[in-house]
Amino acid sequence: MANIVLSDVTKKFGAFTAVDRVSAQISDGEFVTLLGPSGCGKTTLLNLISGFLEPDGGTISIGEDDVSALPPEKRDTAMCFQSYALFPHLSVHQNIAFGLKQKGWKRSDVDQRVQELGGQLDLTANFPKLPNQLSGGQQQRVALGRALAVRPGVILFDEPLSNLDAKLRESVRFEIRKIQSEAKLTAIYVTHDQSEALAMSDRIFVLNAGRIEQAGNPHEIYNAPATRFVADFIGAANLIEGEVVGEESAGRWLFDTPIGRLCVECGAAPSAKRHHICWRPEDALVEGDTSNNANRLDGAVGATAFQGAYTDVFVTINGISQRLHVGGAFAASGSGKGDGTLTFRIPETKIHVLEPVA
Amino acid sequence: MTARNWLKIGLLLLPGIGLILFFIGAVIYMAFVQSFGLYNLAGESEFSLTFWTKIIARKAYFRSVGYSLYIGSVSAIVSVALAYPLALWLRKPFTGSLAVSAMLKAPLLVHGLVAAFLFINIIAYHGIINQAMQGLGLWDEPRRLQNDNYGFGVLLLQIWKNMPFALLLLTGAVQSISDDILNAGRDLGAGNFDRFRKIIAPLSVSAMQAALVIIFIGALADFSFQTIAGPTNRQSLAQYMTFFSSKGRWNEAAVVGVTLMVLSLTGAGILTVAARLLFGGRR
Amino acid sequence: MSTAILNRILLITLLAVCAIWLIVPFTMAVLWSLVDPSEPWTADRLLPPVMSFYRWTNMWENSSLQRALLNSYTLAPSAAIITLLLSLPTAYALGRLNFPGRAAMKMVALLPLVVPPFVTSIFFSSLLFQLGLTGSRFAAILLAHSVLFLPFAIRIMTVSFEQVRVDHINAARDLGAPTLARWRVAYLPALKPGILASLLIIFIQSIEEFAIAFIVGIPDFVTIPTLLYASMGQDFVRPNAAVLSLILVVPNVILMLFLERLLKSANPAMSSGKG
Repeated sequence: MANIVLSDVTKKFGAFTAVDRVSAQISDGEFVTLLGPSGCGKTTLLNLISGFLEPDGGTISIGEDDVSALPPEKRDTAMCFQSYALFPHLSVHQNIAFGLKQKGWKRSDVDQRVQELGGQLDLTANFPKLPNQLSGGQQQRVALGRALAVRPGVILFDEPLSNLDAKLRESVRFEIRKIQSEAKLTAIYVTHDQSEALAMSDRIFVLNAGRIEQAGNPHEIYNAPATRFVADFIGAANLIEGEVVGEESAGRWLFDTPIGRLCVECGAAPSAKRHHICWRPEDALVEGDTSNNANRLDGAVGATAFQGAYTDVFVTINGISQRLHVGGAFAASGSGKGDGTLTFRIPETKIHVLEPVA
Repeated sequence: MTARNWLKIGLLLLPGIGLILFFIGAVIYMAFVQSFGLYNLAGESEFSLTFWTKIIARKAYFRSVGYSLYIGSVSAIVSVALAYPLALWLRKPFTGSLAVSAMLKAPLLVHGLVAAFLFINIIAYHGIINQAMQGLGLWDEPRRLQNDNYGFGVLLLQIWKNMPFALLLLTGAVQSISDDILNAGRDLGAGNFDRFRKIIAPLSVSAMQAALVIIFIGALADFSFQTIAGPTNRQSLAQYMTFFSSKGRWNEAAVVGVTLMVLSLTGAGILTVAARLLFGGRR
Repeated sequence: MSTAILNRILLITLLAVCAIWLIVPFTMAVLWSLVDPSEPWTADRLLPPVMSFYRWTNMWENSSLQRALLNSYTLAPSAAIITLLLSLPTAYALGRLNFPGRAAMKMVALLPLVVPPFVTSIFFSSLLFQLGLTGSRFAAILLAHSVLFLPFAIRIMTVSFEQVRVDHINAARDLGAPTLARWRVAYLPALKPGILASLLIIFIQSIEEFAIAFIVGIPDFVTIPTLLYASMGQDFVRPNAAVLSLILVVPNVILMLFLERLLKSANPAMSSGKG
């Protein structure tokens, strides 16, 4: 239960910079997810915090102490490895007890704590078994129990669910979050799965090429992306470039885009002349009230894909393909028009202004 | 399994396993029965325990047994003890680790007799060690290093020859321990020594046992190193056995031969159990 | 001290030790083999005063070296081929057929390695006496070597047979191949590395083998190891022993390195098209 301060942390491998002057603060008891594609530096950052790598620049503090030069065995962190890394020659009970024995706890205290965790994680029946006698889900829970046993200041997760099948992933996800919030542990969770990140985190750090592109709670990240990368990485997004025309009225700005003139309610003035802007497929209104004509667009319907809860529809406007989610059944003939075109509008509040065009 | 199938399998196994069982079985059988006075080549065959009782009463016999056990166990233990830290050091590649590895394993390519020759060459009366020691002023005159009374020459040769083999086995075992597991140990507070004792040693015990047993059996049954570089007031069991057989005293040779085999097995068993007890392992 | 510096120090120490461990002994051997008998190499000189190939030519012409070379280098290939042939049916059975006691049979195959070499030699020769097979020493040693090295061949060829893929055999049958063609296309590619490895290992083992050659062969049948051993006994002429040592070692090293290269490159070939 400690807070973490990262200050200009940098890590290079030869000429390649894996983590580029990252600064962040993580509060005590917070669940933070490091999210990003492969090679973005999230695992490197995790290894820096746990101590398996030493930073080339910057400092890392856990609680009151600067731990930048401290090796993993001396840091108050515990990690859940992607491969679980259970000791193959020790039983479940001995695996969980390992960290406690290292700390020199008395035998009776160790047993008590292991029993406690066994109950919490439903592992008591498996105590005498060896790791190779357990299923993937059970091994995962042993890894979790082993890390929790020592009550670390920070608990770290390195893509712990990636080796589990989809159904199991969902249930374990809830378990991890529940245990973490009950024990009020500071947790750092690495994943490339955005639905995990959105479901579990207090805050998400979206990483790209060694830098944090955006840090915020899941709602902010989803509904107010700051850059193209974040908008496209989480959820789906239609990305286009817009040229600022002018302010229509207070907080409502007009942009000229390849698909037409759009009105965006963005509050503050755009900082540059040309910006990237985006809108999400599920925000398109197909059967809207015809009274409001703002951002009304017509497009030729291309491919469609039925997805159960909605249909993915690709329309082409001015030669540019845009993606919409249309609820329920959707006939290729379009909303009543029957001529292969589709009319829809995008609410002004649902268009997001991203970074300026370079 | 039909009878026809069994016949087919029997025929297939005949030239290989069959031959082995016949010849080696015959050898072991002959050694056993000849030690009890049967199957004599010359003279009569009758069951008798006298060969055993007479030999066991001899001092030379026990000295031989003791000496061979000493050579066998010390060679095995020292070879493995030297190989372990080297295997751990060479676990992760670094600049020059391949060269070091190759150099350490070079003795595997050299025939034992050649090694014996090179050795006695160096420690000879006017060999390079004597010359160096005199040159450095440490010794006044050349000393007789060959055929020393403690078997150090033989031990040195055994270790020179066998340490690379232990290194080979242990390197394989130690490299198969995944980094993740060692990192998990570090993460939970285990320093270098604890990681060795609690993770690396238990996970490489079977390689250690294999190395100990194989080296022990080989060194126990040594003949050539002993006759070339060994002490003259002791005989190894193989040497003792050959002494009898060269004089046509097959029964006594058989007794020593059987002793050798029995000691191999029991010694191997003891080393295996001891290694498991000291270093732990998978349950 | 950082790991890098520690590594550097250990490396230098080890290189120094290796120099003593390897380079010095071999240099001494080479130097001794070059000593010319006109002037003996006494303790006060660093290098032999007169160096020549006299010893080499002398040994070649006058000693049993030629015979020993002939014996060793005919014995070894014969042993290799015979052992391989003997091992094939057993390896096939152990590798591809399933029968109770298979694991036990695999252990039995290792029996020759468990019995101490001199016990095997002495009682094997005793056995030969009993059976009256004392005619040809060459044949006797050949037989002994074959039995002795069978475990290697069986082990290697069993693994090779296990690696023959059933789907290759089935594909061949499906396309109408008769038995011989099936063997050529499905079995042979997987067996080839094993065959080469077996032949090479047994060849090397046979050249180096001492106990049997000593007990069964002496005094008529000389091999290089027994010749070397004899030269270190009563009439120890150091330069001659040096020559013999080098003759024994150099082909050995070359063959072993070749074997290592073969085993390394054989592995990708063995898993033909897997994945």
